Amino acid sequence: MTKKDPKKKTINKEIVELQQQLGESLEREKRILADYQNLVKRNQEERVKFLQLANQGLIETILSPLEHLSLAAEQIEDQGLDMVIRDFWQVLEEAGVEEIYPKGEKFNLETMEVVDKEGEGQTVAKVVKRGYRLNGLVIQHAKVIVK
Amino acid sequence: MSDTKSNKTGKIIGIDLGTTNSAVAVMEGGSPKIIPTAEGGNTFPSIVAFKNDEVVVGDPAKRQMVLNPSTTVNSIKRFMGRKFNDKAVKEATKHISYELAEGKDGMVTAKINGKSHTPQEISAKVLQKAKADAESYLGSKVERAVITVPAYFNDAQRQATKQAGEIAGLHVERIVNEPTAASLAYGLDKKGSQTIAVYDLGGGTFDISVLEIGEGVFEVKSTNGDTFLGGDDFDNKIIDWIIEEFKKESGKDLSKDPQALQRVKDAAEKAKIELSSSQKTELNQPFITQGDEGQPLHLTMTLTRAKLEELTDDLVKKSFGPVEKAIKDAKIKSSEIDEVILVGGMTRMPKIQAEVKKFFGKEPHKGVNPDEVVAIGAAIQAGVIGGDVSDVVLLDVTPLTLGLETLGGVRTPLIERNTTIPTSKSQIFSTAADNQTQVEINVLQGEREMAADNKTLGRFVLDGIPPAMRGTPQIEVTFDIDSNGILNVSAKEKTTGKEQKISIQNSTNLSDEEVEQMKADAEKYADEDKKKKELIEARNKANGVAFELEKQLKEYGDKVEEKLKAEIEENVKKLKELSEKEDATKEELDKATEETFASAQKMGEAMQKSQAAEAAKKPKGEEKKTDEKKGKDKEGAEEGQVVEE
Repeated sequence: MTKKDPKKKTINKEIVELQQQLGESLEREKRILADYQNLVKRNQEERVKFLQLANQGLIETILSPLEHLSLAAEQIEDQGLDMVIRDFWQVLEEAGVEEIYPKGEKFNLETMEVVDKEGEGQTVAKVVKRGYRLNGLVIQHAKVIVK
Repeated sequence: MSDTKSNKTGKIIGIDLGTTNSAVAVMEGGSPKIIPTAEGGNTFPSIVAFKNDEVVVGDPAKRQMVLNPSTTVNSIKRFMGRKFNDKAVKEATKHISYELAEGKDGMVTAKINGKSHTPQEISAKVLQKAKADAESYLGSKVERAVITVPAYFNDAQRQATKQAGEIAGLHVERIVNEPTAASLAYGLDKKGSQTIAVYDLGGGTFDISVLEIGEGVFEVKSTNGDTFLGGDDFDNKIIDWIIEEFKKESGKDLSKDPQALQRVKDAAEKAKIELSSSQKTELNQPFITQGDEGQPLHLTMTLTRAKLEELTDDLVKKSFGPVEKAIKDAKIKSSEIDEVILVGGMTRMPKIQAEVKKFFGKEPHKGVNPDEVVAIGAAIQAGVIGGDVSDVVLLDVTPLTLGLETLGGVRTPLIERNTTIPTSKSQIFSTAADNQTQVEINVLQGEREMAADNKTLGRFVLDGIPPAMRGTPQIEVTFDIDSNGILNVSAKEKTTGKEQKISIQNSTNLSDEEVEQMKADAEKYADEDKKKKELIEARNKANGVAFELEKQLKEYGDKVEEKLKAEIEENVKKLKELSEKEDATKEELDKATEETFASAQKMGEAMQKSQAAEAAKKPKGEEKKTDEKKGKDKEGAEEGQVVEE
């Protein structure tokens, strides 16, 4: 028989088509797997970052009352109050918090924000709001007036 | 220059190049995602500072703006593609502190340190930051972008924006209108012919646009706005009010004290944000200043949402003049608007949402973060161009929680709502009564705590469970939803391997209305349902403790002193009676359970002592086995009920 079987031809065509579909499906599956694995990786990285800065939210909410406490100490001379503030700071320092109080320093973009100026210089004349670092990262820039 | 081959590969980013703030987004895994800035925010100020040879963009530029006003450029978008002699340019000059000059062809330029920079060049710096942040996030080069512009931008302004992109090294695939991008973010292009109003109240400008969409093509019918109305005006109203009130109380002017003023500014911004979600907020700033005799003065006041609305009433009203004009220009009635979209951070204010709703007579769309919605829309447009959007396999989610009924008519969830499907989840359950040979699995859909308040999708019975103490048989129930939304539920008794299953079609196929109704009900009855559930759980616990103690008394009663035995028996009896009482409260049940349990501990101690004594008498290996299995539930449980293991 030399004549080609038309049935066989359609089956062959179907096989080719199915193979193509299978190839596409496998490709898509690989892509999805890759997407997933990338997500897992990013998730892990974010977890590490998250753990490092897990305290940030809580510490940020404490900053305002802490600031108020410092203001109280400036106005009221009391040994007990000073002790409370020292206690407080000991805990915060252990958690990686550092204060930024750049009075008299030259303006630094990394740690400060200028809210007003009294002259043409670059020196911090007043700190109107203290800044803070958490584990080396600035979480609140010091708000300053320069002269 | 920009049509090189490398430009045709890689991700296309969407950029919302704003007057006050900018944002960047990209399609990732089939959905748009905001790209975080290097500083960790989702948006950044569109501010560029020139420091000698260095250029600083975004938050750092904003932080030094007061120090170097003449070399810090803000609101450059107001000058894009404009002539130096334009009226709009003259007006905007009042709001900036850098110098403008006339450049080539009479176009406006910014003069910084004696050198002229075109608005395109300055905007390019903002776009370069957007590009750099995106590259660092995606970990690959970004060379293509979709950039948004206000709908009212003319050809020159659009051309200038495109040039800014090219200067920044980005091939601008398309310039998209901001309101169009916002509509794309809400998928309104897929809903057929519609008329859409976009109300955009941002940091410094207000825009209202009326669009018509048909067959995927957006047509801007009219635009209007107020180029100098935004969030800062609202902040200033609060600041002025605080200063005035404090003056009335103490006679001191806080605006004269820079440190106090800064604290007032911060407190005002915080209060504004808080009042979007609560009805009132406390402003507490101790030691804000000093009185005439040097005594400390504290600022303490309450700002209510009503007061804030009163203070800012004129600002809100001011926005509706342009809205009316835009509607009129579009030659339609406000009631003919099909969809309303809110854009810009200020639209979080409940009063604005209410006024918009009142004006158009329909609830505005506000699900997408209003600060990010334009960038999100730009990313979707970018995804369409890049082929990301059509290639994506869209995975469905379960619209409502799927679970089953357990003891006491409680709904126990197995697959929480919004879980991406296909997915499967198994949990072990047990019997509620001794020698129970069958359990009924009632498959539930819904968000309510009690089974009866949810929809039953199907039920079946698994029988042939070998008779045993309640809580002993292990019945594994598996919920499996395939990618077509078909839910297969099976229950298998682990020792015999006997299995029963059911297949439920269309478990995810609910109309939006049905889903919304069920979610709304769940929210409405949340407290009530929680209480009901807690009561039943307390009752189940009381029953479990009573059952367990009765069993132990039967087994070890002879080893316990008569007096103690009588006390426990009395307690158990009372507990059982209480748990059967219809009107017993959770508190009563909890208390009685605890008391009974405490008296039973004495029995435990006595038992341990006698066991130790017996063990000392007997040779090793003959200790009596104690049944440690905890009975959890009701003795008189209805036949067929299942218990959570």
